[in-house]
Amino acid sequence: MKLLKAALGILLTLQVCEAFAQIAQIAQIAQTTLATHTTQILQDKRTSGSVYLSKQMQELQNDATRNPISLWQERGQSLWQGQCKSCHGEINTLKRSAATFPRLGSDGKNLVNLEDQIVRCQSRQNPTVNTIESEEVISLSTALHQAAKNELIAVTAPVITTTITQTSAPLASDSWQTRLKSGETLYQTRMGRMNLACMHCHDQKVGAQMRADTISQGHPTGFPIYRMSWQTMGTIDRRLRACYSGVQATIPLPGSADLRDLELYLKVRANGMPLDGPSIRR
Amino acid sequence: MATTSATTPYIPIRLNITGEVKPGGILAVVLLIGHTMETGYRVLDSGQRVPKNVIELVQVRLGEQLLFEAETGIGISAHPYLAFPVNLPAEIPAAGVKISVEWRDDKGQSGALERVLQKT
Repeated sequence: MKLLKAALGILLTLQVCEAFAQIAQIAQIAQTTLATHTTQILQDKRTSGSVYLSKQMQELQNDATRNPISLWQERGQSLWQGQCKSCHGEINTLKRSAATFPRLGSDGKNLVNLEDQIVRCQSRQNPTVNTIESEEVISLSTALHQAAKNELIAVTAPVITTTITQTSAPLASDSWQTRLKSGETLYQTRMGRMNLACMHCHDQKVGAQMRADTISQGHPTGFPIYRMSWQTMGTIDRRLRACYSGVQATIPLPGSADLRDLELYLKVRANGMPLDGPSIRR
Repeated sequence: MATTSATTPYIPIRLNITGEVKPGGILAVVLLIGHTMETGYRVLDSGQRVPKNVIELVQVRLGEQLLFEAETGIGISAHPYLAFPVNLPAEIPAAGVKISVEWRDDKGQSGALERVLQKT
């Protein structure tokens, strides 16, 4: 009898143990599924602005014979052959480039976006300096973004490897973080007569109609853009200024630090998303 | 893609032709000119008015024959896009048929592009 009891006891203990193990396993599976699911949701939730375009606009985007962006693209490619190729080689060798701007400039304090960099490059060889809004610069930016199509956005804090600049290394990284923080604050700050922050539309009202337009998530994957209302190509700099105008705030000057900070925040927010290449917008 | 540079500033022009080149055939032609088409009504932030600069005339020829001419003005959008069908003649010479486009604007700038189509 005693033996039977003992045997039963062991069996029971074993069963309990197994049950616990099962529960733990289920919990673990549940946790991992939840985690992957959440990541999936987070990933799926981020969409390019092209998704919010009308069918006709998407057709225009995909039809190479009708798409006006090709005019800038061709010009950019021919400019590349004349101005950039001798140092940089073929345009495809720099195809990751567009996905990694804005970066900290050589001064380690101010941000430089792709168009700024093109202007800097040009001013090294040519005394007649273009502005970031000039046709040449936009054409080159268009060609570079076209080359960077489907590259994943990867904007990260600067890593300095050389020993000489070790003293300034934490400084560069710090100022990058400061710029990012400033961009995030701008994104969340109410401004203008409309008293709206970026997040009020692009986080909280995504998919809603604003007059004839559908509000996008505000991911900068399609720049530079051919905007129908501009009837020309424009950079992210110009688009952000148009946002300031939209909420009836004081419009910053082209190339001002606020615009670069915002661009940095938006690019970091869109890290890991593929670039669409130059796109059509309303 | 064929691109010809006109007088400065660089103004691209492109011609896309689809369809079979056969006697009596019909081609679909798309013409795209990279012209800013300034209406003269635009004012910069600095208060300066942007001077008018629009394409005034576009001519399209098949061989020597004028297919059509378009008198464009400020009502035409920037980077004008013209799409039209072209009826090919009943006989296509061995040298092919030539489609040529010419445009000029109110500043005297002009551009042209021609394409010779061989029988497919």
